[in-house]
Amino acid sequence: MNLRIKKVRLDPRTHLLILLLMSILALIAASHAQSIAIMLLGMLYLVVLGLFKKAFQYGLLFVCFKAAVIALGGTALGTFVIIFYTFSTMIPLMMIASALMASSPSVMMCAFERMRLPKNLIITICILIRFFPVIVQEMVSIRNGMRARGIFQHWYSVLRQPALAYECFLMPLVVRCLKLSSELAASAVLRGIECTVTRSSAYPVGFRTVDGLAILMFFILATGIYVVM
Amino acid sequence: MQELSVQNIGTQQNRWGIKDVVTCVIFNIVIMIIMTTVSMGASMLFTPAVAYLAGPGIMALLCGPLYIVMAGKISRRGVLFACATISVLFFLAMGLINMLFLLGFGIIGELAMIGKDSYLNWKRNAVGYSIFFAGFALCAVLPLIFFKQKMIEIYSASYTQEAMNTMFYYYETPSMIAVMVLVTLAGSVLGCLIGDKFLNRHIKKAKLI
Repeated sequence: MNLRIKKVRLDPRTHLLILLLMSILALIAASHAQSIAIMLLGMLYLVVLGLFKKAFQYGLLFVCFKAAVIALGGTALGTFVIIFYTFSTMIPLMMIASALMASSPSVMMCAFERMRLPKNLIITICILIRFFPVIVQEMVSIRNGMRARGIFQHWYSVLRQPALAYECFLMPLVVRCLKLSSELAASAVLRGIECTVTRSSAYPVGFRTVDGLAILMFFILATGIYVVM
Repeated sequence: MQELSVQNIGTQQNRWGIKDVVTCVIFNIVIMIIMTTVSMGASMLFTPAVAYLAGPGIMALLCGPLYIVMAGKISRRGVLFACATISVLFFLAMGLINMLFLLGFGIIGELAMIGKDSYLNWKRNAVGYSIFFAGFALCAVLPLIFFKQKMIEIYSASYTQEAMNTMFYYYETPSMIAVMVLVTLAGSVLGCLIGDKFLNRHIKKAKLI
């Protein structure tokens, strides 16, 4: 039997609102039980959206960070405990952000435009969400390029001439960023980003019953976590 | 006759074009990555004294060249405030609500940049950038002044009593706060100076600005 699971598609504004609620919840949660419940809530959100792989990956990452916190708890490595704990509290937020990142940029822009946000802010949010992995990839490429040319081949080579190493790394990155911004801006202008008429999208954009239900369910569960635990 | 390029269509002298917005966001992403890496590295590799007192200064020093290139490339009113807004959006997404104070410092920094071609002058840039980074350093201090009890509750989940006492010592002692701000200001000015040297030595020579 061919079993097909229908994915729930939510409006980007719903993801954004839930990200805001999750930020508040992560901030006010104090106990370990609450942090675990918040992570489970994030996993549930991703599972409902059909993002099973991401839910599993983030869940596994959370377990690893928590295990590291417990393992290093009584040792002299207190700083690492703080870092791992901070990362573990960020995972539920990353989960919701990954759901937002899974939306098409066109849908995101269309939805945010309907919120009457300034165009520059909409572009900022979209680039912030989409370009983090690209910039990280650029940094890795520069590092690999330096290694291939025999420049600062080992990690300790950097310690001998840190200023030169920084200059050698920074300059290609700056040039790449300048080129990238020119190319991206030209591409966006040619696709009509400066057009003043209301934007349309090939995908359905708008609040539906499922969005209302998602927000309501999230709010009830979040309140339950904060009040009961 | 004025030459028209695709990217200049619709942009006015003082208005931000799409290219300016994209440049600002892309450079800020790099700045955020460097700030996060330095923050983690300083906490892991250095003693708490260095991490708390010199951490923001090291960040300012390393991000200064990027800021100077970005400011020189955009060179329009609002660059510093845009930086503050993007930083706040990023930190809010990471759940760091205390970074909202940075918006206020962004406004003050932007006011310090009032004037013609201020973003092309490294000394003026150093003033605005120093205010921004001093604000960044103080974002950890201000919540302890206004919401101490709540912050103790939040920190007690991850920090041991000893780690919390160390943090409170650096973030509540006026002399320590003064040292932290002074180191940050020094890092900011030095970062902008290095940025100006990079700009003249590499970027302007390559005619990228």
